[in-house]
Amino acid sequence: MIRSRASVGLIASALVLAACQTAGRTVYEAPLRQGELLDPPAATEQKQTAATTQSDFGLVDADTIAHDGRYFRITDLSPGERPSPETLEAGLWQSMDRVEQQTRTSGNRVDDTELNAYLTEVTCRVAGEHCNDVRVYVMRVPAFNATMAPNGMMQVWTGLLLRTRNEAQLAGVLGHEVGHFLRRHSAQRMKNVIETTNFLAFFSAATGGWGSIAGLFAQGQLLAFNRDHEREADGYGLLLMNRSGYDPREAALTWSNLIREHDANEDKDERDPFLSTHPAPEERSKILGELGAAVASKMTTSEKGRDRFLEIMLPRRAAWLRDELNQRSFETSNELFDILLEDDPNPAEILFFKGELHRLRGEEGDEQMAIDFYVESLQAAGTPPAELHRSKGLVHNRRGAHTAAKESFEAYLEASPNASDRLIVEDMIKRLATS
Amino acid sequence: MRPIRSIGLAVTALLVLSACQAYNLAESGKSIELAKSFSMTPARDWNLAVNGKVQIWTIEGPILQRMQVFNGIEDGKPLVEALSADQDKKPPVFEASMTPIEIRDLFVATIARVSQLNLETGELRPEAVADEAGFRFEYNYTDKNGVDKRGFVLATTRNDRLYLFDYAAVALYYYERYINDAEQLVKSLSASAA
Amino acid sequence: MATLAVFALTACVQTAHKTTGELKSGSENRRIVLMPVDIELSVLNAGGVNEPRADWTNAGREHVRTALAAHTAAFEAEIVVPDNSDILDDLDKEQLQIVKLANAVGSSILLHEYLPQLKLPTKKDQFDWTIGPDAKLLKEKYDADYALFVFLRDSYASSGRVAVIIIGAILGVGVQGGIQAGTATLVDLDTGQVVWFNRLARASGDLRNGDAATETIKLLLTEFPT
Ligand SMILES: [Zn+2]
Repeated sequence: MIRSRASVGLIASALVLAACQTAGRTVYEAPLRQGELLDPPAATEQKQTAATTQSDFGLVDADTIAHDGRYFRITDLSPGERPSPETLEAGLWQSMDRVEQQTRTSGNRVDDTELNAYLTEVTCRVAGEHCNDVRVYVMRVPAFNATMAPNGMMQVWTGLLLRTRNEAQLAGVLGHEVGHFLRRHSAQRMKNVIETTNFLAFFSAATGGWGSIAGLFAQGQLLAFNRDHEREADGYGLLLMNRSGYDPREAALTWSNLIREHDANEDKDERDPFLSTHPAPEERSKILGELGAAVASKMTTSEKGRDRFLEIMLPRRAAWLRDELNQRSFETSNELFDILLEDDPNPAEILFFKGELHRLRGEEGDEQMAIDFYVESLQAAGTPPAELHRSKGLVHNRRGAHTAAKESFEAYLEASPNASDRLIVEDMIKRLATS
Repeated sequence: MRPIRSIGLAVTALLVLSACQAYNLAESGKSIELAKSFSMTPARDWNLAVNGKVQIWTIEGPILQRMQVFNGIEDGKPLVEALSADQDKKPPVFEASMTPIEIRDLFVATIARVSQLNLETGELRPEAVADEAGFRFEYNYTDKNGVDKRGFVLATTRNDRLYLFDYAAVALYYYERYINDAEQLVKSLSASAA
Repeated sequence: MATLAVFALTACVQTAHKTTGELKSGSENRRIVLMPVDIELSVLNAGGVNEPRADWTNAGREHVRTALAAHTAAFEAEIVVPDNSDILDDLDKEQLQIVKLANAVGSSILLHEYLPQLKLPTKKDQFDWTIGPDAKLLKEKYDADYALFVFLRDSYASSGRVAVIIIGAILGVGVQGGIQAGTATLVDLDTGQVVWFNRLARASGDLRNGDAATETIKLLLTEFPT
């Protein structure tokens, strides 16, 4: 979400929220840079002097995880803590309190009691004693993302709920966001942005304008700083998964699926050259995979929570699949649908949307493929959406297959006699009958 | 992050949008040509801003109420020209052969892309537009600031071009207040000689 | 920041808008409910990043309330500050929509009355903005004749920013310093009419300080009906 072509001012305001990424394109392409952001905690310091610096890997104790000599530890914010009013952090919190008020009534918010209760429950399990410090809002946005504001306002986008496959994967993302909160990344970022832009201002004032090279350099610094936070939050995600009994190996799977989607996009090479010099989410997935396995090996029980998760998500999914197609990113959507099909309890629905994809794309051969997927959907396990026959009729109609179109429309009205477009479909049937 | 900046951005967008085209008076009783296919005659004074193929008719300003006229969108073109500039995603485009269902879906997809808003649409039914076969549907949504909005769309295809009339207003008070004026506008449509 | 850009553009226009010079005198005690003041005070850092300050904002909000109450007391109108005045959560759905509509009307006034390029020709010189008769619901809720909506942003250049401004000035580059901007909207709760509106946009003033806040409120309430 943060592009080097954005102005520094925009970046600054954007950074108020510890935003993670959009559809695997920007921040999540960040490298897992070696840095010394977090000192080894006191407890592990003794370990280091006693034994080695490099051998700590995976779970060090119940609250600490290590990778490459870096330690992620749940520290910083005590439950219920609010920053004191004169601090930079308090200013951010207060700003975000206002934003949260807005979020509560925003049209993009999914105002669904059961869904929100479920997400709150999983968040609480992950956040543990910080349960009351974090409030989760589901936002209807068709991209893989979640955000955490410094005051504990967390947003989870429906595009993420569409892509995670079980409660453990969801918990991994929520844990990552809670990590941003516990380590107060927003405040750190804000501080960093202020310092960097202050430096830039003097530089540019002295040179009589914005030095573009200095600006680019500074933005690179800011992005690197973000990437350290992302990496740290990943560590926290695993740690919290461990603590709350979720299978930590699931975290990496979310990433490998996103990579598949991303790779399916033909235009993937047009990403920012500034960012493309860095390793992609592949590395992140790899490290999460290694760490996840190491953590999992020390856990006696770990759960995936697949049934529970799907029971909540499946009945709500059709709208999110429709939103996905409205993006007109057909290559990535197709890959997403294929990923879902691999283990989906309702393949009929996914197959219908594959048909929709071809109907909407309308390239050479798409009409036949659309029909084929509709037919496959009707034969597959699960339930296709009621509008399948209508879509089929639309494709037949486009091809001039009037009888087939008419039959499909009639089948549609028979299946859903109270359809909101009944009058228009009847009108079309009449026209088809006379043509 | 998006919801947060959107309040400011909406204002910016509005400014950018409006900076280049001021509102002119669309006088009561004076006909306005729509891409040589229709003409429209308001029965009261409106303010009219034109931005490419999109006209904005308003009495109280577009934040409160407006009629958006997509004025003769050509086959293969998106409703909002600016969408073509997005390199990452293809825009949803109009095709002359589209049925009302497909045009409704195109409108909903366009709004989702342009404004990240999710419209809930009501009954889709046939309705003539100046003697051309057309259709209508109502919709509602809540904007980013949490204001409930209501609207209707009336549309038709003529000479392979799309004419779409989209009236929307704040649901509280404003929708009802100007709905007759909006209806009068679309009822005043008459087909120009081809 | 984008919103503040609008203010900057309106800076050359000075007048308040009003439909009346007098508050209704139906009851002895004219009650004006002060809706939650949308206020933020911030430091403008050298690099141009606005850093919100919670302590200043809290102080500023108090100063504004005090100054408003003092200002209207002079003509026997009482400012009512509801309990939980920072929290819109105790409004029901419909009441909340009215508040949101009032904000939308305020934005419309700012854009169409103060930005010459966005003038609405049909408005001519009449000032006839309204939030509609549902305003009565707020009248019932707060037992008030009028509602006052106040929006304020106040930023102060840090010493670093001041230095950048000075360097810029030496080199002939204009650098924006702190800005004080705001709007105030007075709505008649019987009719929903906006009876008075004003906005403020300047590079001076200080809401952190009680006396200076009084001066700001006096300026913001220019031509406020009495
Ligand atoms: Zn993150």
